[in-house]
Amino acid sequence: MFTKTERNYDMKSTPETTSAAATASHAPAHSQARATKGPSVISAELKVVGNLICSGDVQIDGAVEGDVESRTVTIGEGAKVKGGTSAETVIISGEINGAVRGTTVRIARSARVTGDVTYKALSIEEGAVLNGNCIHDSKVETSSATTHKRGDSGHVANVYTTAKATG
Amino acid sequence: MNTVITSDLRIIGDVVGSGSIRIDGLVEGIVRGRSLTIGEGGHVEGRIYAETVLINGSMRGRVVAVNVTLGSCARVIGKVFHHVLKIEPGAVHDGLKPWRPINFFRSGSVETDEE
Repeated sequence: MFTKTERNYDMKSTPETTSAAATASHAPAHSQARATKGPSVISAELKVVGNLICSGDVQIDGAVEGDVESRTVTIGEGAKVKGGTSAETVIISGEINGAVRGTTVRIARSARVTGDVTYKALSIEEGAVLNGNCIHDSKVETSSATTHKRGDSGHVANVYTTAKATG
Repeated sequence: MNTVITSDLRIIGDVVGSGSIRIDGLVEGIVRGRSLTIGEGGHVEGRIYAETVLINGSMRGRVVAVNVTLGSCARVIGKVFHHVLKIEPGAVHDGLKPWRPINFFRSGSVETDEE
């Protein structure tokens, strides 16, 4: 059998070292896998059971059962969130069941919010449904996600050195 | 619109959809979709069930898909159940690559196969 000690590849070093040589001859899969810009999107047919932690922007059009921490969260029409939402800017056009914390909270006319809203600046459009307390807080503390940098958790860097195959 | 999980997003939990999913961030949990792409820098820790999977990031856990492509930047640890498999030069895979007939992916046996 192979010894575990030999499994010492560095996962982080991949793009520079291997791709440069490999892409020269084989581009198809590589070119499709270019990094994307813009917000993360949870599309309408998607359901997430668990927590979302983001240092950028998230657009939710599907269903989320869990907490959302982000810089900006946009909950689109038809979206359903069951859990707490915490962000600098929260824009709600869909349905939320849970507490909302945000420096700026905007509730659109199509929104249905059940839960307390903690805010610094709040706007509610005519026609919106809001069941819960509106609590003003001039120093709303939103998530730590805004300061989170990817890789802090060490997952990506360390999987290969610490992991055994789980498959 | 397709689902995009950008590099600044972490999802600790399961992601279930019927469309296409692109992961440039981190997902810890089960991912289900029709077509799944793990971009460079993307990482999945858990299991993937899909029709078509293209991996160019890293993945630890099990992949179950009819069409699997391991791109040149792929780093995969774990079993890759497939019907059609393509591995590009530069890809790293540590684990078994069991072939399965197409019925395996259509039936519920995917869930129970713990060999």
